[in-house]
Amino acid sequence: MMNKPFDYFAPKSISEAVSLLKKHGSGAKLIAGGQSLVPLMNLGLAAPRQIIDLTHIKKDSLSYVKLDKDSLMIGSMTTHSAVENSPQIRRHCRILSETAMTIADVQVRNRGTIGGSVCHADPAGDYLAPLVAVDAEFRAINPKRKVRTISADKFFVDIFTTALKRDELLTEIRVPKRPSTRNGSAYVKHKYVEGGFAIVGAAAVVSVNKDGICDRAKVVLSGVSTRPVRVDMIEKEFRGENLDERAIEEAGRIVREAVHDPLSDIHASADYRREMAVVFAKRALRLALARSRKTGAQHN
Amino acid sequence: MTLYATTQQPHPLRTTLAAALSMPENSIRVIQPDVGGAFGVKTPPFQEEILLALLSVVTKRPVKWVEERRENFLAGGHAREMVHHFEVAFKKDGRVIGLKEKMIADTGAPSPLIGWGMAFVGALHIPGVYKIESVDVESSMVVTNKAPWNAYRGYGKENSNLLMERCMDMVARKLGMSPIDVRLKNFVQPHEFPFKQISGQVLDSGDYPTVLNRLLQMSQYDKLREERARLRKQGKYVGIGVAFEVAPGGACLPDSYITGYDGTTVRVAPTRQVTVLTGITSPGTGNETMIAQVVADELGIEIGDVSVVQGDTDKCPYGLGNFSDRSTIVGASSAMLAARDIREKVLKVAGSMLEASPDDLDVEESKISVKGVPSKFLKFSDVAQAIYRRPYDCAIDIEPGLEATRYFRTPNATHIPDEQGRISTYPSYPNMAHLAFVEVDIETGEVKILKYAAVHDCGYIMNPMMVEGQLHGGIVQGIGGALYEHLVYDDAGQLLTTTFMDYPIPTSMEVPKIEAANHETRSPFTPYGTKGVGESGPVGAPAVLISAVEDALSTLGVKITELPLKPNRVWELIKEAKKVKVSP
Repeated sequence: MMNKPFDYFAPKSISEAVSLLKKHGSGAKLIAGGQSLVPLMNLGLAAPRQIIDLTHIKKDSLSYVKLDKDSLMIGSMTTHSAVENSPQIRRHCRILSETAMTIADVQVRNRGTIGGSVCHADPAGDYLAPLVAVDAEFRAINPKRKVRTISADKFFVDIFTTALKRDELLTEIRVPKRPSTRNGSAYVKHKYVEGGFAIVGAAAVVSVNKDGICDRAKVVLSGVSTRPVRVDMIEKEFRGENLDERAIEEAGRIVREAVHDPLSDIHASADYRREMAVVFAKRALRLALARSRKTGAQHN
Repeated sequence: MTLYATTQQPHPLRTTLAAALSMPENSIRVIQPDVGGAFGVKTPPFQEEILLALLSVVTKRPVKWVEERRENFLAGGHAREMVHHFEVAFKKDGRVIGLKEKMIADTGAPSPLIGWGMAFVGALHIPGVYKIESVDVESSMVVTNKAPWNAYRGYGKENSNLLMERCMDMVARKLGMSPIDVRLKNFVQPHEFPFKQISGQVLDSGDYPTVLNRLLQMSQYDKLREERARLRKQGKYVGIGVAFEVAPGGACLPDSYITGYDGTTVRVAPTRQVTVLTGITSPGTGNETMIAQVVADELGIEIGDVSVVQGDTDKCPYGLGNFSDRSTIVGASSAMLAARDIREKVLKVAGSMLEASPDDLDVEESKISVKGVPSKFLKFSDVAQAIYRRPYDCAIDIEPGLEATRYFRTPNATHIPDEQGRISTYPSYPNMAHLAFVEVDIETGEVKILKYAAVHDCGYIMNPMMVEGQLHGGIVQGIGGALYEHLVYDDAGQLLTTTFMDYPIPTSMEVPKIEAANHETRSPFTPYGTKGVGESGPVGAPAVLISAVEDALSTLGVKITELPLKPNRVWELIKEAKKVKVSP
């Protein structure tokens, strides 16, 4: 039950929304699909004084999937369902569709948005790891209509904390397009029941050359730490290597060392989380690798 | 004053309100609208119900209160936290001859909720379906600063059941015997019913060996063992568990409103439609359909002509609502008695109208006809109208009106202590054999149920579809308790699990297809031979899952002594076992 009253605004445009943000300062909160904020308000963990509802802004100005020569562009108000089902995303960034599919349940996916989810920055949020893994960029706008671009790696600062300034609104997420062959990616999530929080979410992105030798291999983990854990060693160590099962075991060892001070809660101890980071990193790598080797098919 | 309450006991709630508020009981009306998610928790009166009524009386205005999920988690009542220390004595052939058990229940804060009784009822149902000459049980309840216990499906019997099934598995392992054979050796045998257990409880009926053997046939147990061997060769950790369950029903606790009777009124209108007012209530299980079936069948009329009214203290006879499987035990039986009174009157009047003896009449499809002369008949409505319109001719031999209220009391409970001071509080012993085939992910500790099969005995089955639905729901609830559900407190006594994200329950994705079948052994103590089905499933599922997971991890020597089997915990058990293996 929400027991703190709040003022409600329904701006019709992006500029109106950011002006409201500026005007009301830190007590104001943007709401998109409401799938993170509303539960927090119901639990009394969030009590914004002003709610700025973005759902009345002209739909196609924040909810879209577009392509240009280099990038895939996803509007911040695009729902998880739309991310899951978009043919362009499936074709050019399969890992994001795969990730959206694992979020909560159909009702949540129909209302919740990719922008809302990343701005919430829950360490167990599903998009965090894959967006860092695919080198996504976040575009934000402020009341002076100044657009700022933030890399995914810099965007997630801490638990429930992003690099957005108080008067900035996330408008778009851009993902670089990659060649459609010899690229493979996968998001694998450890959860206890369907729709449950990610104990660990592992995203792997792999590119191989025509001889099957690794050009690029990256693993990012969510759920284990206060922000996504990017396992840089894997990127460095495996370039020019043949990614066999021995190499994947080695990757697991690198992940184990890379996870410092893992989160601990009622679902999973720190030790368990670290070990699951290893297990699911390896699973994600294996799957990404298998997909990269399926020649002819598009599995990036 | 009218109180709309999500309760399982509208009449006792009215009685409590009258006492608490010093109001005449007949000035209070309690209405129970459609209720779900009860599972026992809504049996006792809640403080909030009394406070709401008081607020309404004081303010002379309607007052409404909606409980939040978080509040329900915090204060709606907890259950099941119990520690067992036990020793078993057995012979080389697998017969168990002695059991010593010390059980300690953390029943939380003292409260007017009725959960503490679960520790007592659990103790009472040792040794369950097994014959053990010598049993010593010590049951302690410890009051703590956690949420108080409240009634929850299983009502303590899941604890005693788990204990007994663990005993059987441990004896089997110690002797290198099949766990099936150990159970068959120790079962109360079919010819021994009614069987007075060492605790004083009297098991009404059953055929445990047949129920267990049917399960083994149905689930192709031998083939499953081959499958297990095949998968193990591939490096998989798979295991089979078999467990037996007895889920005593129809509770009759001394000097309480949790007891063994209920009442039904059958009221026939001159135009033939029948209204049934019953003291049992439905928590969403569909027992109103079953009551309508009973009345329609007894009167030989269409079920569409019967409407059932429940959960209204101004309309229904004083009854005890819904708990402990009682709707098929006392609800159906009292409806039958009332319907038979009506039938007798209808036949008497029809007999005089058709100039035939009532014994020579048939009632079917809303027609009363002379046996062997189908053309000579009256419509049910003709007779109903005659009873109301012709009290001085064809209906002169009966008392006017076409309405009957009857109560049924289960005959096989005793509250007068026997020579050893024992009473018998449960009249009905539905039972079930469970089988689970599971795979444990050795890396993550996740338990996946590959197959689940069960054979149940609830006596005479009144509605097969509803029985099957109950079994599925009950088993899933048992799976939840065994694998996922855990109310976690921090060191300062704060409850940490106050949402369904933090307190996971199984979804359709975690639950396999459940194969359920029935074996009927009718109870000699209910008119139709019915037993119960409402608590079946959660009582036995924990035992079968522990057994299957232990079997899956048997090469590592993992022993499981606590629930739930959340992945983190199973992973720890695997890790500990591997450590022991490496450094013997």
